Amino acid sequence: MLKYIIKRLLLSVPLVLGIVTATFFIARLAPGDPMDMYLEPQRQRQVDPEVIELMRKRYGLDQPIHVQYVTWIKNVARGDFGESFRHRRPVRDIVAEAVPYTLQLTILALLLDALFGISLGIISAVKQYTKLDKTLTVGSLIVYAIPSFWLALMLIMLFSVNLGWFPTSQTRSMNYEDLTMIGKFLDRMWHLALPVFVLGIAGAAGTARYMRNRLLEVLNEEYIVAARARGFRERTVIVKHALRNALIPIVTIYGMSLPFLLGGATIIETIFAWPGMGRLTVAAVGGRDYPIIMATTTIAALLTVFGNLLADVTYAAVDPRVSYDAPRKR
Amino acid sequence: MRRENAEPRRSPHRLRALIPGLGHLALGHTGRGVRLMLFSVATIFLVVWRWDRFIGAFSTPFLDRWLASIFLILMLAGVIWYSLRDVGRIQQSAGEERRGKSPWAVAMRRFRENRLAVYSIYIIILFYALAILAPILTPYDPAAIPDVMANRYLPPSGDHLFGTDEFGRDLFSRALYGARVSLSIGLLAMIIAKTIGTLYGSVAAYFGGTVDNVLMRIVDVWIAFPTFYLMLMLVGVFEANIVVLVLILGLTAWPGTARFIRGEILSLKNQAFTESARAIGLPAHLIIVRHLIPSALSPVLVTAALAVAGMIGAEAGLSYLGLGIRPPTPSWGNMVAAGKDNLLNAWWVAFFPGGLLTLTLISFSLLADGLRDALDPKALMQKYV
Repeated sequence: MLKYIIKRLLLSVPLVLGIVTATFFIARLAPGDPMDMYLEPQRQRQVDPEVIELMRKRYGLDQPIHVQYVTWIKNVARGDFGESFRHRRPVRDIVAEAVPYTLQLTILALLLDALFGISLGIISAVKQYTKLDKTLTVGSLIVYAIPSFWLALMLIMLFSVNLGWFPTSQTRSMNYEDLTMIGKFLDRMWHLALPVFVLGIAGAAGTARYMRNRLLEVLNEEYIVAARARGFRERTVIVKHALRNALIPIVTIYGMSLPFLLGGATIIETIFAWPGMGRLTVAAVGGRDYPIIMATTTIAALLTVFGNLLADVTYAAVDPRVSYDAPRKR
Repeated sequence: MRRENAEPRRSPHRLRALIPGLGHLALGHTGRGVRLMLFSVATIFLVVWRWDRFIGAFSTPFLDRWLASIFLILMLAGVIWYSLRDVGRIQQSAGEERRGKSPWAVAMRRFRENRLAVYSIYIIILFYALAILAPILTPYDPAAIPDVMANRYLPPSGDHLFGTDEFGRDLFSRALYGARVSLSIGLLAMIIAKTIGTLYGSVAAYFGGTVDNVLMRIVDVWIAFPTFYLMLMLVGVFEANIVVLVLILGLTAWPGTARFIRGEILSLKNQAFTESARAIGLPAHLIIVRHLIPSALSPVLVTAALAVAGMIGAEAGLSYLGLGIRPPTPSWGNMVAAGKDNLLNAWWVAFFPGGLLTLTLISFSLLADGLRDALDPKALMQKYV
């Protein structure tokens, strides 16, 4: 097992290098350098050219491009993403502040996703071809297709603006500092309710469809027929024999949600003014704050790589049929 | 032969079929006849109702107005041609239902049985038609700002179907023009992504070895970036207008197709038909384009429908964030954004464009679902042959 993990880790080294390289060169595709883009022409005229030169020097943009590239790689390896143009602070600190907020949002959303997705998927598969199954299948397809920002706005309109049940945005109430520990927790949950629901329900719709298909696949296996023939109750057959096997690929799906977990949700975070990674990225793109854009994009891509790795490793650990010493089949 | 029997009855019905639907009615195909008639009446009504704009378009230099008018003419010509052909076909088969047995015919039948998918395709066609016909249909100029004080934030009514926005612009007109932007970006970006992905994947698979290795490692890197993050980054680097946005969307979304097509082609390239094509000396590019890609294409069709939805959604998301299509050019995404701060007093500003967007995305998803079921090769031959 350890050998397998080490092998996979080594195999992902060139991939990581490729990602870091790609980010650097995509950011340099634009004419001029990032400082030119940050200071758009109209603003650039108002700034003293000497100041611009000083800023270039400060961000290392006066160096030849290959030197910049090597510096970038070295710094990323040390976890240093430079300094934000706008905030004049290390990107690492800004990201570190955003991650906890994103985690609160995404962990809850994933829980909601798993809870509803898996259970509805099971119900749907067990009652295959009934009215309930058809409603759930088509319903999940529709929910999955609704653009999240529109759903979020409509929910805000209904529950926040018209009914006043939930706050429209932000992470805390005005009187947050005066609240007790429990009060603070409840206040946070209250603010999380709508964004978590929007993110969770879309995920649940996808999970439900996936769960249904996997369970139906397993229910067609011979050992299920055998279990039924031996006279087990239907409930036992489904829970003990089918479900255990059907849940294995679901583990993989959640392993791959690592980039979502830390990368957050760009649009939903922006709508609810939630100060996580997603909103940070969107704001940075709007303000052309290149160090932040490069950092969050790189982090998201690296998380994808490690998410896949995690998924494969857990898969190998959970499913005894996967042997991790033999060459993997694609 | 059956055809000789049908011959004497043929000409009168054909003549009647010149009025679309009448031939079908006479032959007892009521449903199709009524539908064809309604369609042609609606088209003619549109021409008469907007005669000035229909004819006026030809004396303007605007390509989109020409297109709208030509599209109307084509619609009329198309319905007459279709009804003539269909009446002829019904008579030839003389009441006997023809059941094709080619995979495509079977797939078509399976698709038609899925009512939701058929409705979705109607909605999609309707929306694209509305988008093309926007210059003829829209009651107001989408950019015209009338007396702002008197016209701003009017609720939906007969005059303004979707109400008006903060500048008093008619939202129905803007929504139709927004449909042009959103729908065409989605379609074009999908075509770019699928074309690049298909060619790339098939080249990698066909040549194999080092070529395959290098090409697929590039895909691995590209695919590691979450799509929306990559789009955000590119939008940050380039000034987004419609053309740039189409390219950004298309160029970020191809690696998935490439990887998929590669897998398909790998399993096809050692089959007998490929080997015989090689044996008769067909050059590699022709084997790929004529034999391998067509065989791998039907699953791509399913993902193409999903990809259009994905592209339209991505464009709307970027435009919503203010990073895609920028006002005053209307797109569904930036129209929703324009209404987001006034949900209490003017809910319609965000509701209608977003509703159209939602309907479009749902339709494409249901269409993809229907296509997947219809084209599933495992299920294909069981029930119908």
